Amino acid sequence: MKLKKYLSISYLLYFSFAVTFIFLAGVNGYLMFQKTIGFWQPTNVIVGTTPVLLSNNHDATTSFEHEELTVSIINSNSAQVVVYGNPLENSGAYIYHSFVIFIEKISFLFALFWGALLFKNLGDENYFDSKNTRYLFLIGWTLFLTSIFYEVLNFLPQPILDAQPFIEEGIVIFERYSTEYHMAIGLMSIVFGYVLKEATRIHEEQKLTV
Amino acid sequence: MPVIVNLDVMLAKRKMSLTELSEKVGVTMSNLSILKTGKAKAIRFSTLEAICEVLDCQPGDILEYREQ
Repeated sequence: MKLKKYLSISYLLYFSFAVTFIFLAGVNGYLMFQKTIGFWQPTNVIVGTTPVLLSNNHDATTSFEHEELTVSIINSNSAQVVVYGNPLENSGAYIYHSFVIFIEKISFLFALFWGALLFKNLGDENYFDSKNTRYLFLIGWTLFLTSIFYEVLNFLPQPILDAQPFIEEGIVIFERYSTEYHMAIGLMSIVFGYVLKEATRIHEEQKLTV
Repeated sequence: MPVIVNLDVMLAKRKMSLTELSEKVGVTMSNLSILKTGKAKAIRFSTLEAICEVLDCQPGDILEYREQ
């Protein structure tokens, strides 16, 4: 019977969330360590998603021709690119964007952690536990507030790396933080939290009805 | 709660134990304890009817409204 319990969907989700949490915590911890070390020991460090101002061959606000293809770039576009350079030359932009990325990673990690606890509780058949409501609210508000934080940031002027040595390859233009999924999942979690809160109250009342 | 359950008073009057009442009414001891200690949120008419029948009393003898 115990084996059946561990084969339930809730436990599958619990293990998935727990493994993902441990994996991402390790990866993000390593990346943060690498960024910190890179900042104090200026060598060639991958800066990542930090926006970079283009110059010379690639103008971010106009078009350019590549072989027979004409590429038009507008300010709101974004592109994936690997950027190398010395963070000390642009410490403001480097710290700012590292912090912003850190906020996203840490909020997602917390959501995973609470999700794992929630699914463990459900796997243990504690469906109407007040802790489940708390986990749903924590997940919901964390993701929702993170998405609001990012949406506000998108409207604010952001520091951009302007040192030419940073550009190694590709097209680098302004990065827009996209957190629509955070907002959708966050709002759904909050709504389900309220539903579960009411269900828990009814369940408690039913249990105390003689 | 302003509604007081006087089950222990009625049990004392009838010189009956909670275990005996539980057996006669068909309600578990834990549920009767919840009722006796005032932790219950609600009571079913069927339970009240059975208790009144066994204790030979009225619902008002078991439940009492007292202003806080």
